[in-house]
Amino acid sequence: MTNLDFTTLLPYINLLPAAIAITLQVGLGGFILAIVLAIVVGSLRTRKLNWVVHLVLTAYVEFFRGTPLLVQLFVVYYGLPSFGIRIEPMIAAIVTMGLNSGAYLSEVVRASILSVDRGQYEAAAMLGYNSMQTISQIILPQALRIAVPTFMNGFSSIIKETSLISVLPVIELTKLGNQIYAKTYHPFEIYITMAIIYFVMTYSVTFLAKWLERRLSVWVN
Amino acid sequence: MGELIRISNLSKSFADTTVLQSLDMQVNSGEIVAIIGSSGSGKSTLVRCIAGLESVSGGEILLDGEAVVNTASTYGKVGMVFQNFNLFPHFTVGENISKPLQTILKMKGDIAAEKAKILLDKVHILDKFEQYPNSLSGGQKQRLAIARALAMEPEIIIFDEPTSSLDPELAHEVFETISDLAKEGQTMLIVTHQINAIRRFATRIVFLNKGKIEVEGTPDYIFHQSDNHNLQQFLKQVDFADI
Ligand SMILES: Nc1ncnc2c1ncn2[C@@H]1O[C@H](COP(=O)(O)OP(=O)(O)OP(=O)(O)O)[C@@H](O)[C@H]1O
Ligand SMILES: [Mg+2]
Repeated sequence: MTNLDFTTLLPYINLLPAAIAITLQVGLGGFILAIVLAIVVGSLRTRKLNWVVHLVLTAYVEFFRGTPLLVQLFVVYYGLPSFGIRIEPMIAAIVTMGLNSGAYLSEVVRASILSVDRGQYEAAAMLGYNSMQTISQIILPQALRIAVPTFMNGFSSIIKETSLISVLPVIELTKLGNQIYAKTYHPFEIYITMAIIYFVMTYSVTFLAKWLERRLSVWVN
Repeated sequence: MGELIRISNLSKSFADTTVLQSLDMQVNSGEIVAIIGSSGSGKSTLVRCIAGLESVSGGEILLDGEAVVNTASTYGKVGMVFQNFNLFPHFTVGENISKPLQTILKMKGDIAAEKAKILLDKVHILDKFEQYPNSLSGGQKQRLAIARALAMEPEIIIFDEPTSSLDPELAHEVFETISDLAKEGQTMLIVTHQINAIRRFATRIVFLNKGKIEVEGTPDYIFHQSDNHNLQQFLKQVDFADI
């Protein structure tokens, strides 16, 4: 049993803010992209669609849900350049995380939309709402209220999954941990510190989620 | 009084069940027509066809001389009050009225809110303006739904069993509101099982049986004169249930 010595990390502490910033940027960027995709794809998939659109959307959702995120990162960052598409590692990370999480969350949006009572559509139609107005002003606000808890879980997941982008040339938290480890050989101190930082981030999201839910639930029956 | 709705030879089927068959009916402006009939006789289907919520299988429905094909043909002219209210839960009581006015009629926010207040006052729930519908009683919810329909100034308001999910006292409140509208000359089409509540102000009662109009006439005719067997059977049942 070795003696724990957290002071060996001190020389590297100035590198932490940048790594945390990258983790948060990828997490938040991926999450925002995921929300937009989830709302658009989820809403579209509740409607009768042209078969090509239907096929494309279904393929997107099923592919991203049916393959590992790590492999998706490899495909986007290392695979696409074979077709002449070269992407900055940060962009590749955000886009892949967003596409991946968007696929999952779109199913949540779809289920939430389908759970809104048919009477809401009928009431809106009788008042003269067209289908765009109905979905954006009547149905989505109700569906998204239902989806908020799952969305916030999705945000926590994305933050945790950003550790996978350590396989790209990006120095986020996990990669920084690996680098410090290579120099100090104090794995426990390093990785437990990283774990605590991840935990603080996801736990804050939990609080944010609770606050959001309380704010949104005034009108829930 | 002008003719508002003319239904000719209307039929409606769902898959292989025929619900309405060769039905003819008219509604003139200013009339208050009650539709009665046993469960499954097609009352909801009939009024939903008139509202444009169901497509017709045969015949036609003319509203102001124009064919009703979907809700785009009826909005602004036909208001609908549903059994389970269908209020917008994420809008406040005031917004349930003002938001549609802003979205559909492009009214300015403050003008829409003013109009909402006038209508809420009329149905006696102005004090609930800022609250959400989930805090209202069933009777208040239905009165809000009526106010919301009135806001669009429809030529006719259709009620499909507006009080069926309410306790008797709450149902009474709602019928008081409907009775007020009757005094103002609002054209209405009311599907209800509570026939005693509407006999005071209905100008005509239509008895639907198995998707056809079996008897129609004034309340006096329906309750005292007609010797139609099916109608009498029906009245015996609801009289009993309606006490
Ligand atoms: N969307 C639908 N699909 C299939 N059948 C339907 C549909 N809507 C109504 N029906 C059928 O049409 C018939 C008439 O229904 P409708 O709801 O019009 O009756 P109603 O007179 O309003 O009855 P109630 O008093 O119970 O409300 C019923 O047999 C019902 O099962
Ligand atoms: Mg019915």
